[in-house]
Amino acid sequence: MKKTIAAVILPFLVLGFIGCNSGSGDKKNTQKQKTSEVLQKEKIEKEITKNVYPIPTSAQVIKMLTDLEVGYIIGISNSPENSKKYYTSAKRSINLGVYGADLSYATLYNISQEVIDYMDVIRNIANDLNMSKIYNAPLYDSIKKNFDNKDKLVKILTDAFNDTYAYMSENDQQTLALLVVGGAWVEGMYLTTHVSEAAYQVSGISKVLIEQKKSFDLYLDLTKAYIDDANIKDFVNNLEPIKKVYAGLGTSLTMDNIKDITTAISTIREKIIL
Amino acid sequence: MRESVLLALIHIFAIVSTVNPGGITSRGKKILRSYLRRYLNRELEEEYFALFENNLEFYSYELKSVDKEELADDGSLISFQITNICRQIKKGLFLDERMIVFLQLLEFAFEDGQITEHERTIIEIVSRTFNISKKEYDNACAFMIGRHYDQVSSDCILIIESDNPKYSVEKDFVNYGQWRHIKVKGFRGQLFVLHIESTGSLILTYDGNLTLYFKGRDIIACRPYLLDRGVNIKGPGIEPIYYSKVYKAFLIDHFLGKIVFEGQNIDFSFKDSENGIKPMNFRLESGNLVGIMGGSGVGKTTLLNLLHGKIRPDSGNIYINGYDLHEDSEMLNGLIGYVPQDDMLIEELTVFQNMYFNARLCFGGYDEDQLINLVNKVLVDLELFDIKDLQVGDLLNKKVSGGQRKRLNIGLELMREPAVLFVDEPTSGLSSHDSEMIMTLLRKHALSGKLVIANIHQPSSDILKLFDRLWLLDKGGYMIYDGDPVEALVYFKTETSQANAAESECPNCGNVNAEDILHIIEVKVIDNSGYAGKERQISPDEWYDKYRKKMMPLNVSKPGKTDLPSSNFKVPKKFYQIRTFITRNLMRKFADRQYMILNLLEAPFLAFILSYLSKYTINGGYVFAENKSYPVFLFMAVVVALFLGLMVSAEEIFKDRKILEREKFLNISRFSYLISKLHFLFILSAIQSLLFVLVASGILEIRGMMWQQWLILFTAACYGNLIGLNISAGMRTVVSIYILIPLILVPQLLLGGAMINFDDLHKSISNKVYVPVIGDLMATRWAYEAITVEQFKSNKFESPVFKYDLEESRNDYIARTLISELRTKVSLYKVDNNDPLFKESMEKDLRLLNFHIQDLSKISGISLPPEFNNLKYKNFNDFTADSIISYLTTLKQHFRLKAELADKQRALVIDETIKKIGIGGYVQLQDRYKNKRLDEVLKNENNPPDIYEGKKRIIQKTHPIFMIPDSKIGRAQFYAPYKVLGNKNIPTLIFNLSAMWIMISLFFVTLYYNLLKRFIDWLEALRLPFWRKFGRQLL
Repeated sequence: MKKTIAAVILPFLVLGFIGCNSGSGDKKNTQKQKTSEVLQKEKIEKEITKNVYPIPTSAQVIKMLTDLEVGYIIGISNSPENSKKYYTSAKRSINLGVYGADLSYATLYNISQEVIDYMDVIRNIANDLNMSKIYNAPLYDSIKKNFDNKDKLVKILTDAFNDTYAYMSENDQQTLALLVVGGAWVEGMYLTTHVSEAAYQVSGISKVLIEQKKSFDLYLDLTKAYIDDANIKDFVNNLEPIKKVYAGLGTSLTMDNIKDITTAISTIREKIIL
Repeated sequence: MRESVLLALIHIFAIVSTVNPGGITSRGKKILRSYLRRYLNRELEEEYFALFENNLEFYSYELKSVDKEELADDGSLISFQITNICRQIKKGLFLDERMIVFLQLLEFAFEDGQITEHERTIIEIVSRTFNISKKEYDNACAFMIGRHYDQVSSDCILIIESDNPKYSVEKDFVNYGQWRHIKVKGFRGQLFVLHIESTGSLILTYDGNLTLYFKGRDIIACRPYLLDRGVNIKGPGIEPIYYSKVYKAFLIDHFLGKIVFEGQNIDFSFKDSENGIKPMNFRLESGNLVGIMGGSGVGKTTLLNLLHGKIRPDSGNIYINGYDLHEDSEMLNGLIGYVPQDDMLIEELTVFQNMYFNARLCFGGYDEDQLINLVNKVLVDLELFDIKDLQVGDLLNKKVSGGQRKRLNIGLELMREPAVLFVDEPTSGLSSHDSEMIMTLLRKHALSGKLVIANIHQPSSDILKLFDRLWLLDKGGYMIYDGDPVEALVYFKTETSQANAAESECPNCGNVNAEDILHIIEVKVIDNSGYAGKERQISPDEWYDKYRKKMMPLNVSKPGKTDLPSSNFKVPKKFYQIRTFITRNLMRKFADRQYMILNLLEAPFLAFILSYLSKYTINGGYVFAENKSYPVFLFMAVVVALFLGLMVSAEEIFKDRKILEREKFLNISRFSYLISKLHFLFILSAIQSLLFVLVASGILEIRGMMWQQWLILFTAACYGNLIGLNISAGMRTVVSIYILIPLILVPQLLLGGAMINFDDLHKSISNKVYVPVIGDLMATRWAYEAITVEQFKSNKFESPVFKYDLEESRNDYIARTLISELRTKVSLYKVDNNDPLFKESMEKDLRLLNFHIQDLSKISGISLPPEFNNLKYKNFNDFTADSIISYLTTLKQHFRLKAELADKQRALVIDETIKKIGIGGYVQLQDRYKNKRLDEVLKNENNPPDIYEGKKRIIQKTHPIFMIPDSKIGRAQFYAPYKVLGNKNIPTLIFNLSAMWIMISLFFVTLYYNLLKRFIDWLEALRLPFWRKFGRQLL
């Protein structure tokens, strides 16, 4: 008798043990969940559009460079090694922008190893800034997939800049968002002025630099609202040399103008990437 | 008779004949012939007689010149020569053989009924040369030559006579009262027996008119005879006089405490089987060597197990001096000895060490010198002293012979001098010489006043004769004979009506063939065609009936209690036992050099392979921070530690299970034994883990984690040790042990937390909030979590800023993810709050909202407007939605600020560091201490989504390493930095190590009670129907 009882009970016990944890009722909710998820997504997208990247992104700037048909210069972008030195949110944000520009540079010139390296370093910094969402594996995959389609690449990178900006603004980190924009702008300028040893000889450069002056002014306007923030203040102060150079410019640039801009940008960049 | 003895006799006889004044007469020759005829066949008789004549001639020539008168003079030439000859002779003779020669000489000299002066002189010389003591010489002379029984020392003489006092010769002898007596019913006349103490020889003379006979020959009145071992004296109308009875009559005084071993109606049967032991009674007394004989499978071992108390009889009782074997087992402690058939030796130890450690465990009261002396003495007794430093070795790599092993096994028990000793098959597989040696040993023990009961399969004649009593078992556990061993053959022959029934032994050689007995028992019915049929002529139960009628004692009343003999057996104190076990274990291990080398080299070698292979380098240089394989390495390290611990212990107890059984029998504590095992294994694990950590951190350049990693790996190894010990104690074969190992290791690998994310397990198991319970059962999970969290948290780079990182991450999560999520939900329902389609999901979301709003208000200290206290579906409207959103926005700003503050504080700390070591130093610190891949893993960075929506609340999935779990009983997400118990935050390292040690302790409990084995036994005992069916199908 005992045996039979045990024989009957034992398998049930086992099954029971496995079964008791499997929850129920999940299915019912799924459909409604889906509807609400769709709604939620729309909502977020709506909010993001409110916070658009305020100036042309570095990707767009560098696209202009490729159009000028200047070559890629190894070693002018910020070394990924430097990322280890950034330990404040401000520094990290600025250099997120810097590396964003560098990534655009490497991407648009199809330098795959550098793309990998910059993706890596950007991901690390983004992680430190608690925004690992944007610079994830899918971004890298879509870059790789569209490696030969420059327009598409610009779109992808611009989206990434937009997302970063929107995401930070959304999270009450407006100041950090502006620092990203600033960093990216400086690096874009730096790359533009260093496309060759004598950038002033490259035709079309001055047009690009003039373009950038508009962005710069716009940027300064944007920062005015946050000038009380120590980080913003610090960063804007750093921009002083270029402000001066731009202030004394006419509608077209002379060789000296370009040289001045180059020197000013180099000084600024040296400060922000250190 | 041995040839050397015979030759010695011929020599001495020749001398005796030569020195007789009349020389050898024809009568003398006749005497010699009749003498030789008594011991030899016709052919040999002629041969030896010729030899005698040769010797006679030789000696008469040699001694001719000697004046016969000088013979009496000690210093004379002839006595010198005789002494010389005797010296030559004695070289080849053992003491008992010398005694035989001496007694034979007496017998020979007295053959003619008289003894001359010369003969007496020679006898004296012989006795002196042979070192025969004065007392024994005098006794022998008095007894054999003159039959002056009163002159014999009264303790050496025994008289057998009628039980009727009418025939007693009490008045004829002065010392009669001091002699030993055996009364035999219907006996006539007197049989005198002389006991020669030094050799145990017995000499008898008969004075009377009965035709007594032994060995098939008549005993001539008034003539001395040597009574050989095992020879029984018979006569018409009297019970046989057993050798053993006579022999023991002389020893009875030496017994210190008499032991009566009794069984009443004992009966035992195996479940679902005909086999067992059929009801029987018995009564045995100390001083006996009892043999249990029977074919194979008749239940000899079962009977032995019943008798020594390993199994309990179904009914009936067994008593020792009136104390019940089971009820009063406390009182009988140490009185019973049992030598199983299997080897109980520890292979790695020497003969001496085996005995020594046994002694240490058996004699709690002895000091070191006493122990060593005792062991040496026993080794000498066992004739093992010469090989005492030899390693015992296993059965394949024999260093000590089978006979020696058996003696050693018996010695382990004999050492304690148990009052009742059981020996299972002491002679199986041994040469006849070894067998005899062992049986003699047992007999000696019995004669020292103990009771020895031995199983024996097919004893040789000599061995059979050593037994005082023989039990025969027949198929089915029927006892069919209980009596004198030599008489057994007569009994069975008589019962089967054979012609030469009275002949117990071979008339020529005096051998008793034990096989004959078994053959007779099993004689088959002859079928029509004249072949032996299948049926037995006399079935076991018929034999059993005969036994019950004729032999079984009918003692049914409970025997009264009498004093038990004292025993010097005393189990030492636990602490002393532990020490003994530890020393024994250490000596064992160190004796096995291969084992030690392998175990000590394995860990560093594995560490080398593992760390070398996982040393990921970029651009030809190695940087700890960039090593992508580091988390995997850590997990593998944990697995290796567990595995090493498991393997080293998996056979540990299994090997000892026979020894353990014996120690259990001796009441030696299992706890002490287990502690000694743990002691060794833990030390080994500690060394192994240390070597592992040293090598690995050297190769992988792991800094500052030495003792933590060692502690964690050591604990994992100890956990492995305990599991290994459990299975090695629970399993019956090595194969099942190794079958079980993957069963244990695979879940440990899979549920260790590194292979599969706990959230991704089957949904019946995973609960998304904490590590599932099944994961918590794995040692790997605790060890791996501890080792990774510790690496992350306590490295030199992270540890100063960890609390700010944690603070920042927490607040950032609330501000960024949680509040946004809640806000989204609220704004969603602001629009749709009237749609009944959403009612259900809205109610659920409100539950979440209620929980989190209250929780956040508590954390932030920003008081919650009372109307939000319990949000309900029915009173939720646009207005509430708006106010909640604005409240959430406030909260969000609050937490954002807190996050920023933490960020600033961290920056300050780092500023300080950089001030000290410069930015270069800071970067180097990072490279050396902070492993990037480990960071990603512990922050769960590559594993979206950020949250999981539970039933009651939203669960954070990012940054588990910065998340303080909300369970107050220590449950937590994987990679939690702390575990919370009550109000205390306990660092993961400490908590996890404690968890593992608790598990280790639990495993020790299961080990102590051997629960695994009990469980398996229980399963087997169930005999589930499907199981049996499965078995049948398999066949």
